[in-house]
Amino acid sequence: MTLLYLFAYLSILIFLLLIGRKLIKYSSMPVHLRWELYPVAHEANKNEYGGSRYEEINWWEKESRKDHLAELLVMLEEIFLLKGVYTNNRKLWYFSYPFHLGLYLIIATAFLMLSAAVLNVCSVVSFVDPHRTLDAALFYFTDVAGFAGILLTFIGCSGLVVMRSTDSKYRQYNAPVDFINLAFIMVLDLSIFLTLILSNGSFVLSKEFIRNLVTFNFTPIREPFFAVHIILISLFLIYFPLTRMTHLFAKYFTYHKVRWEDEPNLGGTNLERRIKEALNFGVGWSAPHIESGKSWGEVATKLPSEVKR
Amino acid sequence: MKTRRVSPVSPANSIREFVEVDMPPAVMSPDDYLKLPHPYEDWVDQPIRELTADQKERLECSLDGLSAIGMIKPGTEQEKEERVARFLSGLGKLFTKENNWTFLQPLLLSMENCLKCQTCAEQCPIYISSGRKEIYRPIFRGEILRRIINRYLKPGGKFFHVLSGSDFDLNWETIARLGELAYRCTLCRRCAQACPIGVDNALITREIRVLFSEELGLAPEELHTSGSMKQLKTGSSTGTNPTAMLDIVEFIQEDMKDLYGIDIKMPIDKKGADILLLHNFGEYLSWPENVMAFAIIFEKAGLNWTLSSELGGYDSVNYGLFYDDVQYARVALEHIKVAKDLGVKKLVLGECGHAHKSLMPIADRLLVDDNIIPRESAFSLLEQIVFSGRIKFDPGKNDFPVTLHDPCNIVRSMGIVEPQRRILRKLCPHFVEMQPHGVRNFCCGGGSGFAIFQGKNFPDWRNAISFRMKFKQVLDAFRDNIEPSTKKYVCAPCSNCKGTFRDGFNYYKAFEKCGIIYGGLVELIVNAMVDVKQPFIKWEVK
Repeated sequence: MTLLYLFAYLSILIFLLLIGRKLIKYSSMPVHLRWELYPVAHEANKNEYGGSRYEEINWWEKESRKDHLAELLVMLEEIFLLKGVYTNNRKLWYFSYPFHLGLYLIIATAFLMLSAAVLNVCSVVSFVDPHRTLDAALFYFTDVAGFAGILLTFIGCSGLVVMRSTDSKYRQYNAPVDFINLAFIMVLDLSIFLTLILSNGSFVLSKEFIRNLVTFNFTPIREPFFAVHIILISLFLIYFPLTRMTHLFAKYFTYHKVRWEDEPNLGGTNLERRIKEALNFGVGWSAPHIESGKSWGEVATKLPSEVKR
Repeated sequence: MKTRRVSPVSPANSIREFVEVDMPPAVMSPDDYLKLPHPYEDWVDQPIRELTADQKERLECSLDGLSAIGMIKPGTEQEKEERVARFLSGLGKLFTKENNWTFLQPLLLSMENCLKCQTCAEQCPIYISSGRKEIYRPIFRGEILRRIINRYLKPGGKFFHVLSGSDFDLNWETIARLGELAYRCTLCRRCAQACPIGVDNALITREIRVLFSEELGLAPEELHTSGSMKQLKTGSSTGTNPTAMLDIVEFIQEDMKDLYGIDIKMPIDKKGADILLLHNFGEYLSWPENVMAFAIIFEKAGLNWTLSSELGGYDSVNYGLFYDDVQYARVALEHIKVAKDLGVKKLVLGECGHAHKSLMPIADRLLVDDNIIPRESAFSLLEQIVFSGRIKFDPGKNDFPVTLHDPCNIVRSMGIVEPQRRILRKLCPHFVEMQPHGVRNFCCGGGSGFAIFQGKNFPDWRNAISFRMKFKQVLDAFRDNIEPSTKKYVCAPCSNCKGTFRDGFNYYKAFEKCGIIYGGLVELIVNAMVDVKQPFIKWEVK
């Protein structure tokens, strides 16, 4: 049974490493040409209609003012309400929203369990037998959030599976792996539900397991179904970073590093230094007019040999 | 915006068929096209002309019977195999920082994170106008590319290709169709704007074009040989050299005097001027009134400005933006060199959308050291002039309905939304917005080079399909005065958009049936000037 705990630790470690690798990959890329898309949420006084500082005369002399609160609000609407899907694809939103909300609640449940375990280790809460208000609040809120999460995820995931497998506009674009992802989540959701049912309507087993993980107490797991549940969750943690489900992390980059990335190059900045670095990359394209083998800076400043003036 | 749904999904041309050697070309049926409002209820579109037998024999046209690139079919199986190998080699380069630092991060994010939720589909004017042809669905080309990558570039692709839907052997015909398909999207980025993840199918499309051009040397003649190459050789994609440019300016000045009694000598190559004004050279040749109007406004406002007759100084066109980063960079640096040599304080872009985007945000990450010269939109400058009180206006002279087309490159990609509107609200008492407008606008249908594709049967497709949504918007905006006796003006402050309106309006006989013409922003400004006695806007088919 110690192996189960070790597998859980390993899966968490692999999860963190793979996610970390992906984040490093996205964040360590060279500077790219500007490719923003309006409205840019942080454009002060102009974000409502999609304006930019380019609207102003001698814009480069004006101080850049960023509305970070507006940007945060747009992010919150997008993350917690899936506003983009609501506005542009309502039919999908009816399933996608409960699906995502359910997942958020399940993640929140896991964090609540982890918090309770840590607080218990610190002797702040009694953990599984609540007497005081804080104990009870943590205890029951975890159960409520967990149950709601399971239910919403199930409804949303079922709807998405049905839509993606019956509606031809989705079906042919979904590869088997896309259905495998949804099926995995569905199985996981059912296994969480089973642990709830088989532990008398509460997540006592899960709470204990997390506490054991935190305290390195490898108490044997007696219930076979719970052992299977732990294996499933561990496998999912390893599988998740390898899939498109990591879009929740990628979205930060698509918005903040592309869509809303409007930093002007006014010279003498770190941005200009990064551009100079990129201009030193060697060009290796094969088309005759490129005349590769030189750096970008050289290729761009030299006319192709077929151009005779 | 409500649009009529013709059929939920066109059953033809699935991904599965697309990767086969023999895909039946998609058929454009006028009956499926987006329906137009009054007075076009009974409008009958002509079918898109077929290519000639010789063209069909020689050119890759199996996508939909069109050939934008003009790709010659390989003669032998060996040649096909070589091209497949070169395509795959180029595909690999597309994801290296050395070869594609310019768009690597946005491209990779878009390729790895599309959830195929189809939120983008209903944003695409071409997809909707065509009657929702499957091949024009915004994610279609990205998905083909993704499956090729999964099969041939990803580790384990050989073993897991069934799981990723990539269980096919790549053939030249599929690649050729993919290349053509990259020229059925105007890169308007409306799909990207709607994507909840931030995936940009327009960028993926552009990068397919880059791969074809920079690795295979395949690009539409209008963009490459007769576009950026000709511009680098002669100074303009129209082939106009500096001497001819000076002659044309002389003609325009004479016309200005003869037609409007305005005697202005446009400053040319004036060292130390505050402003270098850079027009799309199409304005000089097709819409000289636009060049005149700028000159009138700038002179009346007392600006210290100049035009340039140097190579790179009189044509703001930069078609590299649409298909090739190297060609783009070469042309952009030519533009900058002229501004630097003249010692101007700023370079101002005239009414050309892609020139705005090319020299302002995109060039921003290309220029270093003393090449960093301030660049500004004419719209901001014009707004300042109009509201400065330096020129007297009588808005009553613009006593006709006006609507505004938002060029995607200036509005959605740069956020220049209000200056042109504030001018129109002040000078045009009957200004009415299209729906949707501003950053949510629809493309004119001529974006990304389509406006200048005049070869073979492409104009038929552009007029009937890619321009169609914009035309519907225009008709809707003017629906209360749609009769031809009320003259109406579409303000399209972009040369390529104007080219699209010109051809599209002629195709739909918009002036005869509805009394609609198009033109730029500066023409409306000059038309409202008290000092200009003759009406500046001519109500005639252009």
